[in-house]
Amino acid sequence: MKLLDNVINWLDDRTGLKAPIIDTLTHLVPPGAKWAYVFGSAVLTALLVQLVTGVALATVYVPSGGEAFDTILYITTQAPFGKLVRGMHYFGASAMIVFAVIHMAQVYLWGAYKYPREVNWLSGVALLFFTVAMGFTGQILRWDQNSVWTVAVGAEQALRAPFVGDLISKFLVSGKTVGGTTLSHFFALHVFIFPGLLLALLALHLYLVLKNGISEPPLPGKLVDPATYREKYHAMLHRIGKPFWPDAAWRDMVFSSIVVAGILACAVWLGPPAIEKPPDPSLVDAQPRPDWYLVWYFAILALLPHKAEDPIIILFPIFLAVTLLSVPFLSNKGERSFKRRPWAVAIVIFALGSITALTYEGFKEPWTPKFDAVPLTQEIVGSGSGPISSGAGTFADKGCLYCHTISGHGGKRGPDLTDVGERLTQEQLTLRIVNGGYNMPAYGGNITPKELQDLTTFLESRKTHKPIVFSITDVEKQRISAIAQDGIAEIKLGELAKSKARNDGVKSFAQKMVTEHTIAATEMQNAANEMKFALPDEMNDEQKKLFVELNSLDGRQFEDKYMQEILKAHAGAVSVIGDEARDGTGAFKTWAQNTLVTIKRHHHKAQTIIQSEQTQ
Amino acid sequence: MTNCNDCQQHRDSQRILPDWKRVFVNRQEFLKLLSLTLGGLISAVAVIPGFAFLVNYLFTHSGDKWIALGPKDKFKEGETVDVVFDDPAAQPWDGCSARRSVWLRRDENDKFTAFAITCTHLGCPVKWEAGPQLFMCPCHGGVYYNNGDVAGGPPPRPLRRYPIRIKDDVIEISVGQFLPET
Repeated sequence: MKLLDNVINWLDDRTGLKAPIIDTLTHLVPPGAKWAYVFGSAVLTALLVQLVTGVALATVYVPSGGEAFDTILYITTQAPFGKLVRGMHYFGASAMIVFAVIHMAQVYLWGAYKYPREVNWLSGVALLFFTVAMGFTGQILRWDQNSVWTVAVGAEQALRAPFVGDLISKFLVSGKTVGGTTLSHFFALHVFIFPGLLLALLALHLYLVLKNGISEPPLPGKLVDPATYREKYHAMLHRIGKPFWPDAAWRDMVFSSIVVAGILACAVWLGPPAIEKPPDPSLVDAQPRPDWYLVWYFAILALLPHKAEDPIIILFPIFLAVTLLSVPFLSNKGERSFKRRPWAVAIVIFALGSITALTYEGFKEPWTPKFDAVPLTQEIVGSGSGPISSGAGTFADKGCLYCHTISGHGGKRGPDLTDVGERLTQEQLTLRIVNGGYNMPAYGGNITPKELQDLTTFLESRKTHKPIVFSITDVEKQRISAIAQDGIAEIKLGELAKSKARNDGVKSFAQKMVTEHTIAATEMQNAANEMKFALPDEMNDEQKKLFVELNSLDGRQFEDKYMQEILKAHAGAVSVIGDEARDGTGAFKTWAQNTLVTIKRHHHKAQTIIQSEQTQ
Repeated sequence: MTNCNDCQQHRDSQRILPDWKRVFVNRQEFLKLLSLTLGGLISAVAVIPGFAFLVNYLFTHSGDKWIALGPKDKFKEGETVDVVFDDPAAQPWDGCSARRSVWLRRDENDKFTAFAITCTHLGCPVKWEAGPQLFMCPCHGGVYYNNGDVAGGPPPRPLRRYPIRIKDDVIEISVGQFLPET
């Protein structure tokens, strides 16, 4: 230990650094600065991971258009520790962005950007910009197919800017088209220029943290007054301040350990982002997408009304930068606590909520044509031949399925057509297909009349028969069963009468009973199918007894008895079917309403026959 | 500090920038001017060539060279195909990232159109779908007709087209400049 002391003393004598280092480490911080204050140091820790893993990767990576992809593949699949280090570099970047945003939200909500820490905020905004820029340039260095198209997408957005668009796009691409030159320029940006600027800004940021002190946790009603703030702050520090080391530093160390452990765990278990196809811009089968932290912006660009795009693509980034940079100038004094700044809370919730929702949409990509849509099955189409079937074929051939869903198959870009037949007629469908719409191509010049006819026939057949399930009361169940048995009895007795009766009037009446009650029974069965109700299939005991009794009679005796019973039965039926027509439900009620007339006519006819028999 | 001359000298040495009125009468003020000027020169000499090199792509002309895509009989009338070529401006070490492609359509006998594969919305590569006779973009659902006009989705302009010619029955395009929109 003596030796170590001697070395330290010698160094201190020649450099004078001991006192400033100790002063820095033990500078006083407000005592309430607890877990909410750990996020800034978490970003710094993640940055250290980035520096180490980045330098390590640079020892193998070759920034040449022809070789970068191979070296990344080598790092990922062959180089010892290569996969781990690439994974850490990726998740380190994610951690930097996540905690930088949380740090910023915390500083904003706590009002810590107010006097005298305005430049802390401004340098922080610049650091956030460089962090995202490092992420974007890093994604390009992966130099796979996605990287190539990501630059192309960036350049195309730049082209929208008036006057300078072409120049900005050339800067991004380093020339006219994406290629090897693009990569080597992105390498210089990612490895030298941006890290240099970022570290310089970081030095300023940390210097300002020491110079202006860590902000004390805000108390509602305790206002910031630039005239007295510093004086009060230093007085407070002298009264109750705690040395940063170790009273506050231990929390930073604990949280940073968790962050590093998280980065390591993700790198081990999730691994670095997959390397896609090689960076060959002639491979057109690509689906470029930015890394996760920019997916929300990609989603905005898909969801914008088309006319609003130009101004928004140009103005939105400017708006974001101006808004963030103007925060400390809009309000640098007064209330700090978020409990008294509801708008600040609302802004943070709105911003984070929108970004989350847009990211979710961005990963689902409902606006993208689904080129790998699963074809419709014959079961869904509902027919293996004829116009419906060939219409379904046209639906697939013409790419309709890429954007429209039918019964769960297909894309989500356009409306779901599962039950379009219930919404649109064949003429309306034809109009839309021929003329197109907001997002829909006009197929007029690209479809034969026969194809169009079949296609619309197929679409018109898209109906979902949604069965409306009625709950039938027990009273109605009994009534329906009784009506059904009455019907069976009418048919059975009618058939008996056809063979037994001699009187022509009775005979033809019996024939009518059989025919019309058979029709009524069929219709009732349909209604029962729809209502999912099982009808009885034979007569009740009383009716069976009556059948046996009638069967034993003959001639006039039979005719009289038959007609009397039929009259009685129809009188009952008129009443009970009338009840159903009035109080019933669904298809049964409809059936009863339609059938009541027939039954009444039967009743009347029976009366007439009986009267004429009696007068004879 | 009773000597007034000392006062002036003290104040002067505390100022970084020279007192512009006295740069040619006072030695110290002149030395400030000299050092600032030299500092500016050093920076310029060090930075300008480096920066110019960094953006040298602004000064190169890839030229409007004609690139042969193949004999015209290779392409069938009414068909649109993906033709791959090498960027004439590329370097030998650019590898596969020097490859480019173009959607070439033979409209009729000697009438060809060469479409840039990039969507005019955000520059993603569009795919030709022969069934529906449409170009479709995988990014945000932009759709174009077979003549490059916008059929649906967010693209603001038709697909861009390269100048094209037939020389000795070989299709050639020039990728230096796009054709103006018609």
